[in-house]
Amino acid sequence: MPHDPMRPKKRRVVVTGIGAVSALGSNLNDTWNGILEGRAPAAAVTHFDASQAPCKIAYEVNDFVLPEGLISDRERRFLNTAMVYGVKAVAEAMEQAALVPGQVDPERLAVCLGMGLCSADVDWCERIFLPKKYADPSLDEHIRFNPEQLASVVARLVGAKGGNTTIHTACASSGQSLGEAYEMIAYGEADVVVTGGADSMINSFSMVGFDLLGAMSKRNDAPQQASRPFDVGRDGFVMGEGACMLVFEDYALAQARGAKILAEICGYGVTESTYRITDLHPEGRGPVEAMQMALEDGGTAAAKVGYINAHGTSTQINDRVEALSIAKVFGTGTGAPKVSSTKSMTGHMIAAAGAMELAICINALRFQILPPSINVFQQDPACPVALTEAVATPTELSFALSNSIGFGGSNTALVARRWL
Amino acid sequence: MTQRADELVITGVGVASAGAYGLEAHWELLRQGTVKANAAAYSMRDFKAAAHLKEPRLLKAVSATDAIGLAALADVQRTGAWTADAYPAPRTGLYTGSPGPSSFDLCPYIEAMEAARDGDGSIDEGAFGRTAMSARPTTLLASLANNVLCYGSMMFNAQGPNSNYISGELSGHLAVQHAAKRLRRQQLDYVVAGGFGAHSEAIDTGMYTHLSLLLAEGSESTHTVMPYAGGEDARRGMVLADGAAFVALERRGAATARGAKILATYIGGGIASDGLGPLRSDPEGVAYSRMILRTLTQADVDPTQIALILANASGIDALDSVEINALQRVFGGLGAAYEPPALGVTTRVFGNLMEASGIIELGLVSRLFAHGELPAVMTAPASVGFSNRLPSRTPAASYALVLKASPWGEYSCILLRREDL
Repeated sequence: MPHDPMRPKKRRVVVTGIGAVSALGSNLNDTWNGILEGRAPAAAVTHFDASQAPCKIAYEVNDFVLPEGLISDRERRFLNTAMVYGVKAVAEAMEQAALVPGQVDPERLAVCLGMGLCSADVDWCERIFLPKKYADPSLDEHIRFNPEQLASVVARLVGAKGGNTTIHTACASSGQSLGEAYEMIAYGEADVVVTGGADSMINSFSMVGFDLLGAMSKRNDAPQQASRPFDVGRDGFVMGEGACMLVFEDYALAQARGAKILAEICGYGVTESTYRITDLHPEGRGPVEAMQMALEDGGTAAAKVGYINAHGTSTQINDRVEALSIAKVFGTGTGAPKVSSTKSMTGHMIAAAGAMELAICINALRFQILPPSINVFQQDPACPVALTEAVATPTELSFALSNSIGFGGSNTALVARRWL
Repeated sequence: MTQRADELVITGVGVASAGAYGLEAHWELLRQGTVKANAAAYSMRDFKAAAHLKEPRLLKAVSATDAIGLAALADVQRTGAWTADAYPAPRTGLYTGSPGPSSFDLCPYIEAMEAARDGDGSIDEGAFGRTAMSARPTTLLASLANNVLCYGSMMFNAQGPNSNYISGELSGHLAVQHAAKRLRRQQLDYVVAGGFGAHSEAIDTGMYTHLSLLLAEGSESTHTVMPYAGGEDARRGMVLADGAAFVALERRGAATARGAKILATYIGGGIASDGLGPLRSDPEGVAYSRMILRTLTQADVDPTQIALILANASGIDALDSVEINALQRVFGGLGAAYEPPALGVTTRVFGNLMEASGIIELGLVSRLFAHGELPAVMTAPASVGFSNRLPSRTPAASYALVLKASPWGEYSCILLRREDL
């Protein structure tokens, strides 16, 4: 029976697998436990010599090992560091989803990822770019800069023939990839989509670039307290890295194969601020409409949302405008949702941030726990939101929302519902 | 042919390439059979984007590649009779296909890297962290892959749903397909979609040479790709071309009401992957052919109704072979009386426009129907089993397929219906 892409009724979309790699740990469990403990593993950068750069700290992934046998040596040569994190996260998510060959038509299984820009570093420039040895280097070094490589490897890894999509809208990249994956299933274009994001901008060019924009914290002497979203003393973000991958699935398929459902995705909003490339519109144009769109998409009343994982970068302008936007949509009264930014614990994972933060929302729903707001020494009165406590807190949650706000003006909001 | 007010139509096309600016000029290149002398002729390094923009200030913090994209968007505004008050901003969207990072983006750091050289001449990365602070504050911004999405949205006051795809050759097609879905679902009223890229620079050329995907420079007087040449010609591979191409999509009823010229009807699209990993394709073209059939089935269009195929036709031998095998699977068994569709090739003239490829073709479909046959430079060898003339057997045969394929085993198609121009 051919599928009608114009069918008006949406299908229900559920999450059946999550995998993560972050500075808190190389799997979702360690990452989640790190968040519950309120850990902030930021430290002096070791990936490159940042000793004379304005920002010398980051949330680095350390002690990472890619399990053997996942990909071939040939495939490994096509992947940069962030992509390898992505492979590990996909393997973890697929293991949890327990999707075995034959349960889904490969042509109805797709890949949709948000990817960072995998930029070059000084070493590469010194060896290749400056001496113009363009024809000299090995295939490996060139091709690792192609952001679409990971989707290709993931498709082979999971047996997907339903098409590969790679998205980049800066910090909104994986929020957008999750949203498009959700819509692909909701509107019947795919039955399962492996989605998420991967990024690592802990390199000299990227960090210096953000330094030049004045976007990064300079609290080099207190790295674990440098990322402080919504605190009055915040002075910029701290770079993170890693990957987070999720398996989105048609509810009917998940039910039929007896999959363990972790949460339901029930709303996606995406807008453009059309204001400035780095600044947010002072009245929140863009983020406000994205959140409203996501609520409307799933028919979710704002009052039902109990937790918002904010984009919350720890820059002055983002946190102020995002908080005002949340207040506009959800109000500021006693029923307003609790808000936190977990970037204080993961760092800013850029293109992977949206996926990681939706995964945290899902775990908050599953385990009925509000993630802590750490490093808030004095909440900025210009950020009128009800922040979560400084420690993880048991709660009753039915719906959670994750925001992503990207350089370039793309804004996304995703709503997840507790699965009972 | 019944036309519905809610069907999607193409009402504007913007194109900038090394050969020309604007759809009409590109049609002339095809009609006249203009081909380039060498690979360098596909470069837009000297392109003056500012001359095409109403607000050249938009170019202040973007790369040269982005500027090409913005110039093409300005062309959409011009040819599509776009006006700021035609649609509400939240109901207007922009979907772009863009390249990843470019070596152009590194140029602002060159001075800082040179200043960071130590006594033995090597670059001290630690010192670079200091010397780079003298670079322009907006250096990072010029390298963002979503700059055209950002500034293009400002040009169109497009505050609705949007996205930016970095999926290589398929990027522009993905943008158009996702944009069309948003229109179909009534989430947007007007959307501009397409792609842009500039890969003729030395680093990308080096990479594709390493991958054995590029046509080698030879002693021939022209540097023309030879799609489907098979064993008859040793010069096989693609030519990288810089360029940008976008289309405007809206619903027919609204387009007609505002007096916009309709260039074609957008019927549907599809994507697929062989799932074999980087640089590996299924030589039989199974996933490719099934994607085409799925797209036709979903649109209730029979393969016999396809009169025109505008192929990917990269010039890469293995990939072209996959394409022909896929097309034979779809069109090869339709009986002796079946008159095959015309198979058109634009790469001899345009080169491989990468992220922008497969978009100009969307604007040329109806013109080719009106022309009745393919210009000589667009024809495929007779050996592949398709025609150079558009069959006119029934009014129902009014459909065209525009195909994209990448050496990564990834495929896309867009199905259009002709419009009487």
